[in-house]
Amino acid sequence: MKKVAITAALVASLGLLSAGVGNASGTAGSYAGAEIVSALSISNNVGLEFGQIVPTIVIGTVTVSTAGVRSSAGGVTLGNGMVPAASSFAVTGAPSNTYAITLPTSITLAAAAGAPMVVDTFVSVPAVTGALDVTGAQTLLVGATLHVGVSQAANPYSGTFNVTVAYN
Amino acid sequence: MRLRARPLMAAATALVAILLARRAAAVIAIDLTANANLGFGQIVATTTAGTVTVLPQGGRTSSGGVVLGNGFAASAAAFAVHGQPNAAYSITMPSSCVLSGGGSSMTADSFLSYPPSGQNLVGSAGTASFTAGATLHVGANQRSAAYSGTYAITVSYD
Repeated sequence: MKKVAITAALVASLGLLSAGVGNASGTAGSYAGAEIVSALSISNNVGLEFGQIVPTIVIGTVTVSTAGVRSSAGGVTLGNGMVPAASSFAVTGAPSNTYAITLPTSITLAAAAGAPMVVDTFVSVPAVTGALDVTGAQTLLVGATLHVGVSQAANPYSGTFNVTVAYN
Repeated sequence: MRLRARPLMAAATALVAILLARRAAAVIAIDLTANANLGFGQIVATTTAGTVTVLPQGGRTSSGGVVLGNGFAASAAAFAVHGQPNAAYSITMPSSCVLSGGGSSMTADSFLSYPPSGQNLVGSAGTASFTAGATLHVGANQRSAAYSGTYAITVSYD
């Protein structure tokens, strides 16, 4: 019986020794974060304006750059009764995000009388990929080229085009 | 009977002593440190609920009606382990974590580690590391805000 008691005491002391050494597990807390941001939106502030154009017996083109500067080629003469303008869009969305810009390939401008005119070669600044600033805003400017026919009928011509933006 | 019992008892005592000695020698405290936060990045909520998953080995995916923003990078969480060289250890992940912001909340769950739990060994230098990811549940029209929350990960010797 005495031996059994000694054994028990030995086991107990070994148990204490074991329990006194270090942790068998460790825990760390960590932080998880996410930011929910607003959807991308685009609105048009200024329309694309080619201004006054005098047609001739030779076809020609009128180009408005993204800076709103107008130039011509071929048989057209630029009138100056109206101020040409690049189209301006306000893009808003998630701060510091980039987004893809899709411009139309071509559209037509129609009038009450006369053949429609084609507008193509749309360009934008920024081009292809835009980048919203830290407030989630950017101005997108669009220019294009108007094709004026031979002796194009005198009239106001108008049409619409869509610019699409999407998060990359 | 007593004569036969005594050697048995001695053998049992020796066994217990050896087991306890081995266990005592193995228990250099295991310690876990968080080095990088879990970041789900920018998310655009829509009228349809969705999820955003940050993979433990890096990368981000979405499902349902959420769009991933790109204003800053998403990131997996990273942890450093210090412990007994060459000891196997297990990782216990939280079942879920609540992220709050702007008076709203979202839940993250499906926490995963890389290397996966069950394949973790303290290195010969007494250190190891692992990364962790999870899935965030974004509600329909989830309110725009910065959300944050905390969670705990535990490591223990196998």
